[in-house]
Amino acid sequence: MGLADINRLCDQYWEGTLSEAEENELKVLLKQHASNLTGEARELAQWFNFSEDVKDNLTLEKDFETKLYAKIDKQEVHHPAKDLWSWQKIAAAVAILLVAGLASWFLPKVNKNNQPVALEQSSQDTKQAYEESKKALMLVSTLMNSGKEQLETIQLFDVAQQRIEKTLNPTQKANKRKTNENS
Amino acid sequence: MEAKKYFQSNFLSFKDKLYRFAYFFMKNEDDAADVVQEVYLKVWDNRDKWDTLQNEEAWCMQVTKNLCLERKRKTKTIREHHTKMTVTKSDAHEKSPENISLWKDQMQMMHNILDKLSEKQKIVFVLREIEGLSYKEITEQLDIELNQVKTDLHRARKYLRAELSKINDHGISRYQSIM
Repeated sequence: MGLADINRLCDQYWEGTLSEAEENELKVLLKQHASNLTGEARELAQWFNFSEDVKDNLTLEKDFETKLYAKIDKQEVHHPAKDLWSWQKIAAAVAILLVAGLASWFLPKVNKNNQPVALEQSSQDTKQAYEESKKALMLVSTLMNSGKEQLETIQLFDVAQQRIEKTLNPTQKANKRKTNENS
Repeated sequence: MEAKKYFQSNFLSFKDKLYRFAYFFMKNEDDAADVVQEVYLKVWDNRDKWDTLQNEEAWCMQVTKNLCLERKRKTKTIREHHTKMTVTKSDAHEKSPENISLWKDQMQMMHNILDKLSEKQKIVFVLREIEGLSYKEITEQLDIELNQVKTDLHRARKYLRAELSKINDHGISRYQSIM
C-alpha cells in the first residue's frame, strides 16, 4: 500500500467512515511509513504515537496499592468503634422490648380487678344495641311497605293505560284504512 | 482474605485506566491519584454490594467521573493548563528533552481538545483514542447507542484535526526531527 492509499485512509479517518479494523490497519501503515509521511498523515501518526505513549507512561505510582491497603487496614481498625455503637443500639432495642414485655404482663393483671364491671357494662351495651337495631329494622320495613303501596298505584295506572290503548287501536286502524282508500 | 483477593483481581486490575481517566478530568497527576484512591476506598466500603455489580469497570468509571466533577466543583481552582503536569517516571530516563517537550505540547493539545468537549464526548474520546476500547465496549461501558459513540467521536476528532493543523501551521520543526 502506497502513500496515496494512506492519505485516502487518513481522509476517511477524519470523516469518520473507517471501520475499526481499517483504523487499526491505518495505525500500522503510519508506523511502517513514518519516515516518508507528510502533512496530515504525519500529524495523525504523531497523534497515534502520543496516545500510545500516554497509555504506556501515564500510570499510577508503584506503591499505590501498598498505600491503598494501608488506608483500608487503617479504616478496618476504626471499625470496632462502629461495631460498639451498633451493639449499643441493639442493647437499647432489647431493653425497650423487655420493658414493653413486662408492661404487657403486668397491665392485664391490674385490669382483672375491673373485669366484672366491664362485663356488666358490655352486657348492657349489647342489649341497648339490640334494641337500637330492632328499631332501625322496623323503620326500614315500614318504609318498604309504603314504597310497595306506591308501586301498586303505579301498576293500576299501567293497567288503565293498556286498556285505553286496546280500545283506541281498532278505531285508529279503521281511520288509516279510510285515508288510504281515498288517496 | 477472600474479599481482598477479589478486590485485587476484579477491581485493581484496571487502576491505571481509572487513573488516566481521572487525569484527563483533573489535569493533574496528584489529584488524579487521589481520586482513584478515593474510588477504591468507596469500592472497598461497598464490598457487600459487589455481587450486584454487572460491570465493575463501568461502575468504577462512573464513580471516578462523579468524584472528579465533584472535586472540580468544590475546589473551583481549576489549574488551567496543568501547571503541575509532570513527565511520568519512565520518560525521565528513557526520553530525550526534545521528546519530553513534545510530550508536553501534545498533552497540552489533548487538554485543549478535551476542554471543548462535553463530559460524555470527553469520555468517549479518551476511551477510544487513549484506552483503545472498541465501539462496542464503549457502548457497554457508557450504556449508550453505537451511533452516539460515532457522533461523539467524530466531533472530538474534528477538534483534534484543527489542533493538529494549528501545530503544523506554527511550523514546529522539531516534530520532523523526532519522527
